[in-house]
Amino acid sequence: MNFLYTAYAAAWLILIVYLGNLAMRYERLRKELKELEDLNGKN
Amino acid sequence: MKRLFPILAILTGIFLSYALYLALVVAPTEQTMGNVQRIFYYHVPAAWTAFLLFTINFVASIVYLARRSPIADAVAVITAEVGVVFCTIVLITGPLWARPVWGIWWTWDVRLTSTLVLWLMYVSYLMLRRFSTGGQTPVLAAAVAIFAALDVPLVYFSIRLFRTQHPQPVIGGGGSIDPRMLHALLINWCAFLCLAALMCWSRYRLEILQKQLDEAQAMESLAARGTR
Repeated sequence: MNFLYTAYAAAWLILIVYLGNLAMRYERLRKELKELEDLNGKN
Repeated sequence: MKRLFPILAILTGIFLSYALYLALVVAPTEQTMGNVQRIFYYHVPAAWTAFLLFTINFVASIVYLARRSPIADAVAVITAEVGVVFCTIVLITGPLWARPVWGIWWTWDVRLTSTLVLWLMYVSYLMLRRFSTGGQTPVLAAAVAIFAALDVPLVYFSIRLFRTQHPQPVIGGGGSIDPRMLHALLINWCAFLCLAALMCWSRYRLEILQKQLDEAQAMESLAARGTR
């Protein structure tokens, strides 16, 4: 049973890590874009 | 579209929970391997999903080379990235299933080795996309993707063409499968496909945002030149 639960947990961990990574990249890009837009607005 | 995303995410979550329930509770226990055989309900759908995404990547790469379409290029990079995630699940759950059943974590037979090579080729593709900044990068990447996709049929047919430790296919392989097992397998695959579609959608939003940022940076550098 340990191998079964480890396999399922590993699969979910991989998916969650990837989704978390996507969310972080999205937030970082949005922040960079906002900073750049603010800078362009000032100029 | 933005409002639709959380609704679809919740529905996919419910679908995945139902699929998990089918895999762990409803599907009958296999007589020889016991409960560890239930890894099958994640291992096989993950492999099918990865193959499908790599096939889309292959088609998108050909379309890009033929028409230089930026959308085809975006589809290619998105499907490769999500495909690698599902291929990683295959490569992790496989050894965890093999250890109690075969007594070994890994063996260098054709099926396993070609799957590892497939994963390595798509990781190389993503690294090329990530670290190469030249104007010819999408063209080079498309060529690499077409080359990598040649491994997909090799992985799929390897258990028919060569003698391997890996079991024969459950569908179309001449064996039989309990209808409840088949039901759990197909529901899990559908749930994985929904999840993969949501991941591709999220990744596409990221791609659009990256393009907007690139345009804003170009405008900023043009404005900076103009003030000099």
